[in-house]
Amino acid sequence: MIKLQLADFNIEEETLALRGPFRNTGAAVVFLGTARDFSKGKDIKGLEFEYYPGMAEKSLERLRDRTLKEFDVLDVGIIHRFGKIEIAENIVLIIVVSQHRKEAFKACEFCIDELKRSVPIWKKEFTVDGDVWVEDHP
Amino acid sequence: MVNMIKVLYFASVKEKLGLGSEAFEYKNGLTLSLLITRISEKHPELRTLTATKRFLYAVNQEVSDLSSTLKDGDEVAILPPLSGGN
Repeated sequence: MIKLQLADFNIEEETLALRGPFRNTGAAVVFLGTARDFSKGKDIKGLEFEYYPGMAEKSLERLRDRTLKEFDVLDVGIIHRFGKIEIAENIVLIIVVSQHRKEAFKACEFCIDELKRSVPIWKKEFTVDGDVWVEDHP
Repeated sequence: MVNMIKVLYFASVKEKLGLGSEAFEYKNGLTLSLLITRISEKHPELRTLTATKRFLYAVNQEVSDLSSTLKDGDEVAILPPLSGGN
């Protein structure tokens, strides 16, 4: 499951949907990225995300496929929001379900690190000093 | 025969140029590297494109080497350093 969407997501609904009714599933690891009100010592008033339509979806699908191949997990879901996002709102959700928790933790971390590195999504920070596109990879 | 390349701009680049996309015409063989030079000549405010390696370039939605040869109808995107997730 891959989604790029404007609207917020429901963490519990998405997690349960991905987990499904399977009897062999022992763990669901969930990473939720949310909008924080500071960045490198500056106050942040809000965020905006832009993506490359077409390529972003393809990159997310590829990341999901790669995670399923490289880790012993059952399913992976990634949701990323775009548009304007207020402080404390949800930005990104990654869900990994597996038989055992260890692989799911590893896969989930891999997925968010790789998303930041390879998926064409950009973040703009609205600060008191003006608006800036974030162009350094944290 | 005149060939056309569609160039897409995003985030900081789009904002700097006030432009999301534009078309470039060319007659003979064109590499991605030559196209980037032409874009920087047309928009001197984009000199950072060639000055920093952190920019990536995609041809038909795949990240590509500067040595790639372009063909008529290709979609080229200039990708500023990525910052999705959180």
